[in-house]
Amino acid sequence: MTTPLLSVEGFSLLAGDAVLLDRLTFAVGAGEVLAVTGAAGSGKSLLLKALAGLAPPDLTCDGTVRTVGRRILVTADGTLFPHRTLGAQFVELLHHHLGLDEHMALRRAVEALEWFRMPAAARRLSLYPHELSEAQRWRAVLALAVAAQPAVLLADAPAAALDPTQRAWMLDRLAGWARENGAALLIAGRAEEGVAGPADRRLLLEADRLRPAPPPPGLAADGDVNREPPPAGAPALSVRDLRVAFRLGRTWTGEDRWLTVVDGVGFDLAEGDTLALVGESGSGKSVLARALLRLVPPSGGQVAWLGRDLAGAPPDALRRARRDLQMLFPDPAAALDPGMTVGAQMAELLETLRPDIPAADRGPRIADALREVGLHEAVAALHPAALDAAEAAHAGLARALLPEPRLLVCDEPAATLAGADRAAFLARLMEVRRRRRLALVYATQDASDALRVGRRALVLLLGRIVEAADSAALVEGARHPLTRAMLAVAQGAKGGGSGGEFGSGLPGDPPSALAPPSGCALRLRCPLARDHCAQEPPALEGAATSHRIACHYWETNSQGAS
Amino acid sequence: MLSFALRRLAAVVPALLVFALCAALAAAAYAHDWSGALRAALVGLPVTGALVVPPLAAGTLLGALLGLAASLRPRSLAGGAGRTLGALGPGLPGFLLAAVFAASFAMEGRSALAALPLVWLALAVPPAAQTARLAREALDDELHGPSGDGFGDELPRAPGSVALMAARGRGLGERAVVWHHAVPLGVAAVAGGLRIAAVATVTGAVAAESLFGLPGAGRLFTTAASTGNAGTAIPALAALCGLAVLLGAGGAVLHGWLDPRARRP
Amino acid sequence: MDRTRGTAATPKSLWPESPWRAAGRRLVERPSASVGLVVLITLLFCVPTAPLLGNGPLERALAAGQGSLSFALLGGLLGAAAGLAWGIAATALGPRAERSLMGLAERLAGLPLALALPLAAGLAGRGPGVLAPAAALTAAPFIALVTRAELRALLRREFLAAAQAAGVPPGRILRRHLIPNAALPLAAAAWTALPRALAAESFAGLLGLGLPGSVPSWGAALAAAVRAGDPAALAAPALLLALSLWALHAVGDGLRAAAASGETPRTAGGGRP
Repeated sequence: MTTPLLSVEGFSLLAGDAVLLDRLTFAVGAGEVLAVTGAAGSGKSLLLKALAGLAPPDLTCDGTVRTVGRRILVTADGTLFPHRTLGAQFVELLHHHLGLDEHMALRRAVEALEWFRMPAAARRLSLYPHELSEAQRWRAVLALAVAAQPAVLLADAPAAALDPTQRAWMLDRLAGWARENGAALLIAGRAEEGVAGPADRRLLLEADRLRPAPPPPGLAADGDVNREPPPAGAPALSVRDLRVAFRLGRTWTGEDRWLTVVDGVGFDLAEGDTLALVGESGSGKSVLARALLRLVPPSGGQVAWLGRDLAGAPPDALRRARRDLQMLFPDPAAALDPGMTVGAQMAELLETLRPDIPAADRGPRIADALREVGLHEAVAALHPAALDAAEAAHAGLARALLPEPRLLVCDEPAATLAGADRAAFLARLMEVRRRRRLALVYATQDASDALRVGRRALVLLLGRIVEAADSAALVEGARHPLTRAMLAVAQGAKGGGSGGEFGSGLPGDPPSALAPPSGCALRLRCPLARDHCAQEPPALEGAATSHRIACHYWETNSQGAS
Repeated sequence: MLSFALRRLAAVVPALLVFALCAALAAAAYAHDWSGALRAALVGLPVTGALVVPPLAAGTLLGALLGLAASLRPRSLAGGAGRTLGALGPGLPGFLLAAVFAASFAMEGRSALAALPLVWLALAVPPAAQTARLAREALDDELHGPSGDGFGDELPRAPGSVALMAARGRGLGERAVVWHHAVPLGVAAVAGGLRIAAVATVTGAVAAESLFGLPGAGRLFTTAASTGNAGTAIPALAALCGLAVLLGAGGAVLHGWLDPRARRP
Repeated sequence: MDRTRGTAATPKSLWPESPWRAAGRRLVERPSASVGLVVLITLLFCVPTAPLLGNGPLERALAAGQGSLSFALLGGLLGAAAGLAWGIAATALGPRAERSLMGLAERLAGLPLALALPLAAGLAGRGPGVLAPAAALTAAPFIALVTRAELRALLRREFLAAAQAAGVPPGRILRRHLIPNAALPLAAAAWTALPRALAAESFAGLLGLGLPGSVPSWGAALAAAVRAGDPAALAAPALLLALSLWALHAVGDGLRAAAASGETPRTAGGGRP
């Protein structure tokens, strides 16, 4: 057993009298990957900065931190310098650390970028950071850290803002690099950010102390997937061939250019039923959710609520429908008007949607709604700025429940929450939904969330459905490569073991609606793609009446699926 | 970069043509001697340019240095000067300083050249003040993070913007971080304010020319305007506008050179 | 740290300040802005009463401020109205109008607009009816640019979609959500018209092309002192003009700060943008 490259003994961090980190002890050896998870504000970033010797000067460090060799910290935003080309940043760093000349440094840079599969790596070196996409920027940031050949690499929530399949792939490459080169890699981040995926060991930072992370329950555990029986009755919400497109302007030949975001989506939803819309960024799930409520004007197709089409409904009919259809927004704090008290906004909603309720009854109703979601009724007198993210999310839920809706459309309603807050909010949402027999449309990028919430799930890619099935069927045998990758990543991110061939996500970036690939939209990322995939887009066809897939090879490819 | 510079400079050509057209039309319509009016405006332009460009350049340079000093060495003399200059700047327009100098130093019987240093000094102060302020604010943001953030973080924040923290994390030395990264960004912010400074300096030069009796396009403009002579005043104004637009384009090219993000069309 | 408050009984603080009060606090918390406010209030009090105070050079300079400050108010209001209307029109009339209106504002902002005053005064007479629109022109393009940017940012904010989902009719969204939230940033933008109008008129007055001689103003007082070569006579109006300009700018900066920090996002860190 060699000595560990990073060893920490009894390390404490104090701000005056307050203890921020309390006697942490751990070690990371060569080629080892350690994940430190923790809730927001648990001090992960601070720990990493302190390990890199960059703790804020007003804090006192105690205990010993020993590192062997060069250590490099990748900060949470992974910022690059905005006024220098990628190549110049590589040259500066590699000259500083390794004393390489420009020619050698650029060669090393291309190797590092290619390790992270930067497309056309050599040409990207002359670009500035703002000319790269978010995913490419993260490739560059990680490549920059890797190229300097650190013995200890500390990464703070790397690629946290990227899609799960993309992030899992990048973290897997990063861990692969550390194992291949005998470096010690420490990844910190929230559990939702998938940092535990490629790790050999997992620690949890909680209440200032480190302890081994508890083994998470597997995704396939029964309580974790929605296995409700399909509700009886005619569909209440019925969506047919819904299209949303935005006009981009005109080409020089005078043709209109359109950006199609939702392309021919259809589904039915009975009262009390739950449906998850799963997709990565750019899949159109959020626009679809808004188009259901006509917050975004659909450009074609039909959305019918109780048999009445909302697409062409006059304002009065639409207002009546809005009483039944309410929405939860991805950033609940931003969905509250900062200039009005929470109560005033709730009263406004009652006033417009429930004119049958006399003004004197509004106050008690608002208090009831706030209590129902677990908030104090005094929250009604507050301005949104006084609420924290969790309170704002609950206030948003209370507002949505106020007109006694029958369908709740949720667009990543817990996106701003983490850890216990997130779990508490989702539990509250499900409890309210069960008690009120609400129908739910739940848009999310987290496949495990989707299966937990939705009885049925639609997997979206570039505005089209690629797989539609019951959650129970998906967990037993998802057929589309994208679904399988998303599920595997969601499972792997929790540290629940390897996710099979898709466990490390998908390479490349999600397709862009501005320049969609020919044929199947996934083919550039799909490890199972064949020549035919480029020729025509696959149609949605059935494995069973309730399970439909848009993949040319779903029958042959899914042989290996468990 | 070259293509950006050419594109940016070419973009002012239509504006310059419009000014030339306006000047020609006004001269033709109102002036007795239209070619003489146009020629007078063009002849006055180099004088105005000589009044504008040196103080603009020197003021910007000095202001940038003082602003950087105010951020990097707040307790030094230069730092204090930069901070004071930046704070007082908005109250010191060029025409006011020119008036103070013109009243304080009797110019009668002296040559125009003797007035030149005074005019330059008066016109150099506003761009220096603006630059000092911009440079200090930009560099403070870079070095200490944006001021006045609304986050009530329970945890103490590490000093430094995200970009600087990232560079420190990569193991670059403090000197390299400050001089290769923070300072260029501060200077880039300065370049972003050059267009406004150029316009203000041209305006100040018009006042200075009239007060000190210098034979430039600005004085031509004021004398013609006060006698209601549109045939001369409008060509002179067009010449001044052209000068401002050219200087502004120059500032934009400099900005694009220093900050690649400004090069986007 | 308490992370269970979202589901617990009591909110963080029971009597927090309203957004307007918070903005006011941010304004006066800036030292330069509060000094500027004091200076402005003092000037507004002293300038009209100056003839009663005596007949020294300072009192005369204060009295001259009547013309300058009233003109700054007139021209500033006109410029603010024009600039706001310009920016609102650009936002409301669709992308084509927006491109041309904002292109025009962008171009005008690069010109020495203050020269419009002497030109107008020389060619069309020196009445306030001529000068005030010219002074308005010096400020309007800048205000239009800021207005359009603020409105675009505001229109993208989620609470408007939430109000729509709550069934609030468009007119009421405009009245109850858009206008109250736009008020402070737009007021901060409009405020910049005041120092611009004051500076432009003083500049024109210095050239002898400002307000007519019967109206006292700082610019004309400066011009008289320069003609007489009398630095002592120049000191008081120059000082007052510099002070007013500085105070107007300081308060404008304070307003901008007060408006800007009102919209800092509050997320629990690391949330997807």
